[in-house]
Amino acid sequence: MPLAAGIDIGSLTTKAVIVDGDRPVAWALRPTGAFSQQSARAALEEALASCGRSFSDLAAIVATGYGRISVPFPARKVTEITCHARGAWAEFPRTRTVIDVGGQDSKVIRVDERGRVTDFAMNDKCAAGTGRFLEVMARALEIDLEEMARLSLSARSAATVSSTCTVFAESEVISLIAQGRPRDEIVRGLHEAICDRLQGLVARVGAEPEITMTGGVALNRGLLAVLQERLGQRINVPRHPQLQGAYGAALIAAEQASAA
Amino acid sequence: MHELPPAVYYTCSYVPPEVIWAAGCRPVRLLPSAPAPGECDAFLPRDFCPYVRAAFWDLHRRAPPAAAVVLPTCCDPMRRLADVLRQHSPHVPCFLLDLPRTRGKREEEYLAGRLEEILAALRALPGAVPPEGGLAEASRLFAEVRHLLHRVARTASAPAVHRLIRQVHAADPRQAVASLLARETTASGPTADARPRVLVVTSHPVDPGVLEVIEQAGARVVAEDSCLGDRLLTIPPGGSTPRELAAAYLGRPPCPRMELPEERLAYLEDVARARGAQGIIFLALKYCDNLGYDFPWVRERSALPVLFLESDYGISASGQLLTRVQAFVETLPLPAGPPGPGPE
Amino acid sequence: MKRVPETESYAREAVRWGLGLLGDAVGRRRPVVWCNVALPSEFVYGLGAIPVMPEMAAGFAAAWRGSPELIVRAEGQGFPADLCSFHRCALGLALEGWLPRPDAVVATSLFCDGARKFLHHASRLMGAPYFLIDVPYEQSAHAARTVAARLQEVARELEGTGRGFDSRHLPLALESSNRARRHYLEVMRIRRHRPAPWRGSEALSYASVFFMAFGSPGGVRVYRTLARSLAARVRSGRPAVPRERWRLLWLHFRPFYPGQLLPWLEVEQGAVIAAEDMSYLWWDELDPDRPWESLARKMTSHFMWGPVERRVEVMLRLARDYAVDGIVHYSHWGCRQSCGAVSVLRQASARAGIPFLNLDGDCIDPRNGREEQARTRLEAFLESIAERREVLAAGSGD
Repeated sequence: MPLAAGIDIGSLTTKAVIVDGDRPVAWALRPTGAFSQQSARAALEEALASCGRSFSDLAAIVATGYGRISVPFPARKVTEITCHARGAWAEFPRTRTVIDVGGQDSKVIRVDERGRVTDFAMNDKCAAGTGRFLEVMARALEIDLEEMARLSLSARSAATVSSTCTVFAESEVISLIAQGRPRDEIVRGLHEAICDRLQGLVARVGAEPEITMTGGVALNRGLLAVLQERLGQRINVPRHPQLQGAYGAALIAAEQASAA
Repeated sequence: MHELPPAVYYTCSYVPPEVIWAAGCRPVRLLPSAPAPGECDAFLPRDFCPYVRAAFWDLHRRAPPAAAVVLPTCCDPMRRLADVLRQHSPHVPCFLLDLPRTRGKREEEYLAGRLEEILAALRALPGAVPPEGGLAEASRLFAEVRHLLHRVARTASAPAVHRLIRQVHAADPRQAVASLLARETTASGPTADARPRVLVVTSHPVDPGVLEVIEQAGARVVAEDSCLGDRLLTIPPGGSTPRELAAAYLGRPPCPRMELPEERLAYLEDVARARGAQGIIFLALKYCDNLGYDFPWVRERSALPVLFLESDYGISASGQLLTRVQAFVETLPLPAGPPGPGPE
Repeated sequence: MKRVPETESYAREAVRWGLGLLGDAVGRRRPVVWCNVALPSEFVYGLGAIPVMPEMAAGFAAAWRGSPELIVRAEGQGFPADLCSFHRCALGLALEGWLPRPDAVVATSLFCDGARKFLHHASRLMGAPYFLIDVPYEQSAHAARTVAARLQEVARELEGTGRGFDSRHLPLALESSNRARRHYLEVMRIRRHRPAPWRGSEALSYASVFFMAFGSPGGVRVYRTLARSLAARVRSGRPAVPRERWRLLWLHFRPFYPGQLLPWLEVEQGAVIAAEDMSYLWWDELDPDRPWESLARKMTSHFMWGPVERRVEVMLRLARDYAVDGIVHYSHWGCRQSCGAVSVLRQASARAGIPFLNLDGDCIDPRNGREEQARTRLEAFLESIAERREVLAAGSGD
């Protein structure tokens, strides 16, 4: 069976996944840093090393993510939309809607029964509704992301935080902190605001079950709980949601290698 | 059992509730209680007038559905609201009122024609029972409501007047007249007040809570130019025919949507002077273009200091608003004497 | 002397026309009128004047990378950053005084609020009188009469300023417009050819010709030579892009500042823009014997005014006539009238079975253009269309 690799070069992290046919055999995740070309190579080498294989064993490579344009070895380029959809569908074959919340953008993707993209909507105009926004807010509240999830889950009510504009939201959070509003309510309010935006994206393409969430923010159980409640259905979360793009890319690479 | 006449919603103060009443329906100014949620993005963009988004969401989800809505062609988002409602909420009958952007005899005639069409269309709604006295009586009633509100406005605070206006706009005008007459009139003439006086300029129906925050910050709102505030009270009485009504509505001080900046600025200058305003708070509704273009005119032409604030629809618990207004108030001189009664 | 190839001659005519116009305006050989793109240029030429459209000038400023500073200049005067960047940039140009001074500013309420608003400010800044042609929202004989009367009224007032306006030029302007129109329709007919003979990105950069040249001899020359050039390309088998894989319908304008997005899309990806709604010629032939009525009808019949169904109809007709594989709506920042219609346009496309993409961007401000994100979206869109085509070719899904 062909060995194939998928590399997802994001703004914050670079992920590599190696598959044997459709079975993942190795993966690596490292910060992208300032030099995406180097981190792409390093991630791939790390993944290869962990399964005892080398570059020449790879039948095909697919690169995705914003850094795909300048990857320093031969690779087919496919957008992260197509890759996240494929990866999510491979892990949960009944997936028909994928919600991906990354560092810089968020997207909702509709897929068919074969994991092919039929429609999508993206938010990349505005920081609200992205991982970056959560990080900024976590700093303002002086907590880490793990703590954010915990606080949100334990909150009994949510402070109202604007979802129209990040600038409004940030100033509101600062006011709430100054007013002494409990942090768990503020965090819950933030999650509500982000999920309101995600619901907006979902509404643009329509949500068909099952829904699978990908991207690092999926690990935030607090946000996940709010989103499930708002959408009124259970959401699948892969074991390694940040790797879904690279996994999907690897599967596409494997397909390409088989067809050759 | 006495059935209520059908509730017809409208979204602009250039839409005469007199016409809706004369057609035998209940005019209700659409005032959604909250901004639209994210789900509304399926229908209207996020970077779009928050009032229009909220209005769409309200009409789209209202159960039982509104009997009808009268939408003016006042601005681009409002025109798109009509289109999106037609496509996605066809169960809500929507009537478009085309509004001229300047005024004169021809514009009055044109608007009169459009008002007649609306009158005829609304009369045909199920349950509409045109009352006695037709348009003449409707005009008289609403003129009286405005006159009584004007009296109240002279002695009550701006937020209180705002709340009152919102109440009466959802009521039968006869009931509104009765309840306004029954109100205890406080001491005539304005009370002495050491707070600096501000004129609040905005376009949309600003939430009374926002005016309260401004007063909390230490200013006294002596006048405000908003869709559902003082400017409403400036509509001249009279209008027993559609033509007279059109003339009255077009003859009032123009809002930012009209293409009459000179007349508008003259009105604002008059009001500011008559009420002794010392500063202007310009409350821009985010994504409202007509108001956005109004600001440079006001800033340039006003002799008074102007504070520019941006807001969402409704009231957001923004400490930012309070802080900025406080800082602005600290720069204003204290008032010399009591504010004037204001233009009639 | 080397012969200029056919394909370049229309560009030469466009430059000749544009520079001639500018020269006349700067040299004050004829009165200058500032107006928005929705005002028929025939009206201005018909008064013996020269149309200067600051919205189009903003496009040129963007092409020369000058738009960010102009926008900042306007924002410094209190114009909020949420306003359309065409208009903020145009205001910057007015504030800097770089455009030929107007003898009059004539605005129309078609098709957006911003146009008449920014022009009113411009008239104040330039010390020129402002005239508004308010257009009723319905498409009726009454509406046309109202607008005709108003056009005539404004013309009289302009003539009364003593600045050289003269409506005796009208019949000639309308005849010229009709000749240009015939050539233009020929261009649009030739563009139906597969593969496409002209790239839509270039067609969109000719927007200034489309809005400003009808009614002038230059307009006739541009479209006559363009029709010839495109016909020659079709005859000799020279398509616009080397490998046409996809055909797209583009809605609204394009980024005017330099960038790789459109060359990447059309040339590299082979997704040629076969047609654009901004290039759609919507009006009937004008009648030189009834100039005011004709011009009024040109205005009231525009598909971007009145109920959105008009725009949907044009979109679907173009999609069909140019056999497109997908529709892209470019959501220009600050454009409420276009972006507000997206949910309706999307639904209509879905019903017609045509893939639809909404692309966020900015035509004038490169800082807001997000070329990279736009490329990703377009790429994903093409990927999904490709998969769709595979499925259809295979005959059925599994």
